Amino acid sequence: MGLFNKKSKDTANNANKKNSIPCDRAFVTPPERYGRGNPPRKLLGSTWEAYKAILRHFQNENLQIPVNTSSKKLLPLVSEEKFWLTRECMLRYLKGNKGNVQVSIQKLEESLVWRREVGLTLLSKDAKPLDADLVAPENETGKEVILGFDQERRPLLYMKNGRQNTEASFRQVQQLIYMMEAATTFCPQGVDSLTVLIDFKHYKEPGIISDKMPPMSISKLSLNVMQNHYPERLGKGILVNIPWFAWAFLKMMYPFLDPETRQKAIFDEPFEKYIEPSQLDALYNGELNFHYKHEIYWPDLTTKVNKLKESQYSRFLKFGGTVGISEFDLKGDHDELICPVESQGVI
Amino acid sequence: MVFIKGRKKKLYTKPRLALKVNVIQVKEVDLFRDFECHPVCLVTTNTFNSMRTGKLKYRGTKWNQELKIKLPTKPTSEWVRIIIYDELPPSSALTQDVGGGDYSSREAVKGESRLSGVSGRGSSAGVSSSQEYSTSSTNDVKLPRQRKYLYVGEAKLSVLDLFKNHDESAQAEFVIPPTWYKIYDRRRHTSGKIDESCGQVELGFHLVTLQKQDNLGQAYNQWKNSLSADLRYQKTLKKSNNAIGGISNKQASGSASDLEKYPGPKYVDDEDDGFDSYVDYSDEDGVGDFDSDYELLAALQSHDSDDVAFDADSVGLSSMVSALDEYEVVRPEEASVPPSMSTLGFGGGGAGGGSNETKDSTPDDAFEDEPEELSDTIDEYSEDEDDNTADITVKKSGNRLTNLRKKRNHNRKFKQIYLSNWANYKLSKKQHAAGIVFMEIQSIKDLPCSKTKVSRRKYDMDPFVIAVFGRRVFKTSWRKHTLNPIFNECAAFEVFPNETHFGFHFNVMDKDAFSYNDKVARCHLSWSEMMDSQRGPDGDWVPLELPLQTMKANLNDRSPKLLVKMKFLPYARLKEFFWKNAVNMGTGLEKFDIAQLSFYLDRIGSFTTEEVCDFFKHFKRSPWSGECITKDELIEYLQKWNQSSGFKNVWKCPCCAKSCKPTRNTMKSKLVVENDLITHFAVCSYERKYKLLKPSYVSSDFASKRWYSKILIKLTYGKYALGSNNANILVQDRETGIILEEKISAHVKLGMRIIYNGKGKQSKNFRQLLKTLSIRQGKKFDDPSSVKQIESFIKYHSLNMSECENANYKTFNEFFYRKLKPGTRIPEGDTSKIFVSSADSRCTVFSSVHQSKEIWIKGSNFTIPRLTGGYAPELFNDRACSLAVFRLAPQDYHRFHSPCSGTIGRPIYINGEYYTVNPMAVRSSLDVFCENVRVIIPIESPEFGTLLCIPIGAMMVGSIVLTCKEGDTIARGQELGYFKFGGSTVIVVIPSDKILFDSDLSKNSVDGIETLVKVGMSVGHTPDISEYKRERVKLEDPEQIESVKRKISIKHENADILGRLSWQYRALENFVTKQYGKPEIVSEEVGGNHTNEGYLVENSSSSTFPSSG
Repeated sequence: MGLFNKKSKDTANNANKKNSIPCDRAFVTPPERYGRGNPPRKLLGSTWEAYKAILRHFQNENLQIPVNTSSKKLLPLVSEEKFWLTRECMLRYLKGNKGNVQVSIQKLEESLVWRREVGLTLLSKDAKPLDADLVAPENETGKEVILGFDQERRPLLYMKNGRQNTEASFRQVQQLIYMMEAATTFCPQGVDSLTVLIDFKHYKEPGIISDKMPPMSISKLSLNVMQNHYPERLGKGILVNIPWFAWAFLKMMYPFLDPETRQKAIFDEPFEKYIEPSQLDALYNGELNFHYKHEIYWPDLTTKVNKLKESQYSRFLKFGGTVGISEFDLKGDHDELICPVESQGVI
Repeated sequence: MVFIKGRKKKLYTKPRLALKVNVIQVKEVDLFRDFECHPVCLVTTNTFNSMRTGKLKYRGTKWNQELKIKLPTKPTSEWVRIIIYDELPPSSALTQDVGGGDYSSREAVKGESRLSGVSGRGSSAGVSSSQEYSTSSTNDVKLPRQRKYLYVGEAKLSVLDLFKNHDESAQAEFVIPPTWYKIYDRRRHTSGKIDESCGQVELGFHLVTLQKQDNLGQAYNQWKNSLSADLRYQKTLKKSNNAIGGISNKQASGSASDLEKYPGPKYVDDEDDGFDSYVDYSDEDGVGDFDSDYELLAALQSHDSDDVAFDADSVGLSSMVSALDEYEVVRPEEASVPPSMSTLGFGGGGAGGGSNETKDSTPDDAFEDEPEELSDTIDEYSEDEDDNTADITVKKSGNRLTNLRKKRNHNRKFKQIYLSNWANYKLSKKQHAAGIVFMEIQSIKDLPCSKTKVSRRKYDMDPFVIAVFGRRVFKTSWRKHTLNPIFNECAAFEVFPNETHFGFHFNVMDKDAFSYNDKVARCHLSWSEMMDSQRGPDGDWVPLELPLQTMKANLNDRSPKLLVKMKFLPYARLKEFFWKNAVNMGTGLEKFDIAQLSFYLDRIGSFTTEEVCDFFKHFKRSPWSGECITKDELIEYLQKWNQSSGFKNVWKCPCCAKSCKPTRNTMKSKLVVENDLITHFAVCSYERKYKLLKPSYVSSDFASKRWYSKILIKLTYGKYALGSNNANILVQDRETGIILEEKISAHVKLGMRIIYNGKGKQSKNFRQLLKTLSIRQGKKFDDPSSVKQIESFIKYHSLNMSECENANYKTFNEFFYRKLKPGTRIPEGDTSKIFVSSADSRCTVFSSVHQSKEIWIKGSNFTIPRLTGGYAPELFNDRACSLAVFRLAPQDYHRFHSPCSGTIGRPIYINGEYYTVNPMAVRSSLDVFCENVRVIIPIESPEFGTLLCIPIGAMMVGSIVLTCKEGDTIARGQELGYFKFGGSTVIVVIPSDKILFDSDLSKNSVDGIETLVKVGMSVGHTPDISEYKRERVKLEDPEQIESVKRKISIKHENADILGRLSWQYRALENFVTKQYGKPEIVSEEVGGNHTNEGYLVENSSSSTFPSSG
């Protein structure tokens, strides 16, 4: 395939029309046939040591972190933060920082502070939360949608930049943060990463004020958020309708990418082998006949997210409300702890 | 990134050797054990080469990087220093508890130690210990800085010692396997007996040649030899300085203790680059024992060079350092410091900044002494001085505690070497404008009317104005048929510091439909007059009414007036308002949240998200929760931030979003010299309100030309630009800054073509012809009958005979080498350390032969030994010499004088050709300087060492006559000899470490422009004194200006009146017709005037001479 030749247009676009599945809401669970997630793996050797060091650090009851990034006022960890500091979370940071314990701890703390500042963790009653109501106007045209699961049971997050309905503002970043939070909540048991499908197509519909890429500053802020505060969350990145220059650029960069990153980025192969058509929007050659209706989709999504979060949080409290509980336990429906905090793992 | 990297001209000879330093890791560094550090390792040699490793994050200690450092061809010390720094986080107070206090406590540890094994020189150093980097005390005052480096320690190794065993054997491999070296903290001082290292560093070395074909062993030996030569020189230097140094040292140590009592923080909060710890050599300076002090010289040199941003290639800390100060805004409190205080401040700043500081202080002092009345400009100048020196220094960093005087004495030595290095780097990257003059040409009243022959109107006048200041020329559009034209057109002149003795010139021209544009009137406004008018509140338009002088006096008695409005904005003011205007202009928002801010910042440069967050942190806002900072806060931060760290991220004009990175194109077109962002912005934002004229002309003559002559010039002479290598010779008058053109007359051009391109016989014939003609003409002018020519010659060249000693000449030649009245050419400056021009001439200066060959002397085989006929090759070779070329034209005063005082050695006559020396020939492959007739006069000068004064005969110069003898002692400016008829050249060859040329000359030379100088004008100076400050010459009399012009070129009218062709032309014509049939003389097609106006070059005689061919 040449550098500038995009993959040939799929002609089979209409073929699936007849067996399309109408839908207008997100679904919470992946199909049963995908199986169930595996319980946490056993940590061995240095990883275990490193993990233990991080765990010890955050188990310390006297640990205090600043209330926001520009103040020196310190407060101890609140329950919500302990809920966020799961075993998988710490392992993600550890992996993301190449096994460096010091850096991981620092990054974790930075993220904790950041979550306080951005409004994900509420320290006081009158703090302004980052919730669905705040970002609802951003999603009126459905530029970011959670819909379906891929074959690895990762939730699918669609990002459609061509459906921009607002001027570039900080709220767009907030919306991204909210959607990331929602998508991670949607992760089923045993899964802690997402598949992000980025669509570069230019849409022309009423309400869409710009079909261009977001400005560099917003992209940079978003990237910064994703890198620093959601490490190892990206399972697969699927790029569709890539403009020719980006295509050429990707083609040129591809050989130089880190092998692990390379596996994650999919742009020149059909992604049917990662996502079943029954889980995919018809726009991208799937079978889901999905039309975004804000008044239906958005309230439904928020209630689902809240419900999931509440159930997980109540399970978190049930298992002791401490740092380091496995997400496998929090997301399951079993009654006793499968992976206790201090254990090396199950399998 | 550093904003505006500047031109990367290699002005020094290429180094042949490179040292690869393999920096592997450090260990046992106590700081790194206790604190979270980001170590950076800087490797540096004595000169401008330094390299740094990457930053290690989070207590890493392994770099494993190989740094390749070029060893300079002219080394001044054997040391290579491996310095370890800790890069402090941008705002240390926030995330870490190890903020200010801890750093200072680390710093406070004392204990100086030295690497005994290697640096066996000088037992100890360091007395004044008051220079701790007291962050703690200032932390609350200071704002977070962009990048701070904390000095941790260093290892200093001698290259000679390293490769001791590899000597001589040419085939040896110059590799040293990695071993551990101890590192020491220079700041920790003790009696010097305890060798307390603060850690170890593992280093490997490998010496390589840069060119593959070079033999490593030979190259190394050569390097070593030149090093030892330099060390010898330093030793002699030391001796001469000893006597003075000793006395003042004692005084100094007395007063030092007094000064040390001053509380530190008082000064510290002034500009502090966070580099105090980095530039801390004050310890060494402070030692009473000057012997050991002197030993440290070598070490200090290397210190100096740390701060010097000479090498644009290396990604040194050094370049970062100097970048910091580039855009420093004068703070109000600083400006309001009374003179005495600030002198102390500048000098005392040496505590942190070390030896460089006094370098700053010298010019400052000079400025403080100037009367207060022009305080506005003076402030500006001194600031500019600073900025200029900031090119080579880290300015004013830190604690101003130590003694000024003590420093000065010590520093004189360092400065010497340090300036000799500087000499290789003349063009400052960061020279910026002194300010901008905005001018609105409003209208003209009462122009005289000239009778028209063709049309039936009463008068014929379509006026336009050409306004000139130095290199900038603006032309207004023309107004149709009016005597009271209204223009209302604006122009912006960027004024550079060395141009402030120039003046504004206005020419009113009458546009004609078909013939040439006529000059109608002119006027002149000197800089000081302009500044006088700017007395009012800053930045106000000042209307000026300038009386115009009409060109033809016999016209009716109208008194025309030019109405202009002027506004001068000094650079400091531009800087002050830069961000305010930029932000107001760039955005309409009053508040910025993080997205809006990063959106705005993205438009002017590149910022990371962390940097954007710093804006919020500074005002204690939380960016991620959507809080905003106001516009005023943004401006405040930008101003602060720009003070501490330069515009490192900003390269786009906030107004027009045009990238201000220097492009090849802007460097080529010499119209805008080193235009930086601030001046650009001022012009640019101004342009929004008023339409500005574009400075698209080089000289006012060119601006007044009609389009068809421009096209013809372009076709026949080449592109009309400053310094372009073609037939347009542009010369700048040093006193007035006017740029004028010389042209090569057609026959000379033709002749040169024959010489250069002719093969075999013709070329040979022509050479023969030149020679015989030169000699014959010389004889002819010795004949008494040639007296008749004198008068017309004077008229033709509009010479000022009042300067001449004697009005009666027996022969033309006698007139030609006329003497001037005593007192007309007084050497400038009262010290013999100033090097003066040796002739009334067009001057170019080059600090190295390499440079001169790149820019000016294009002769393929030009070398100093060839020029000097192999005179003292160990002294005068291509590597060690600077050149000053003085080119005389026929109308010039033809005696040449001594550039400095000294004793004359034995002159050597060298016979040769009689080629022309005009720039076109010099810049061709012909080796005019090495093949022409010349005399080599060695002069033994106490200040400048031995130098050679070489008068070179050229076309039509019959002979060179010396009026001095071997063994004569001559004073500066005393006559050496004279040329008989014709133009010629004097070249002065001088060891480059003894002289620094004046900056305006070297700048012009680099741009390929000659500068008109007179005998006695300062051309250069020894490295230890500052440049002669040219006073502003006020030229009121337009006649004077006209005479300047005549010096350079001949007025059209004169040529018209005389209307005769030169004998040379005829001779050539005959010759050419004989050889080639019909002559093809290019410029005759250009237009009638051109053939006549162009006898300006030395080889051409005036048109009054009878044909001899």
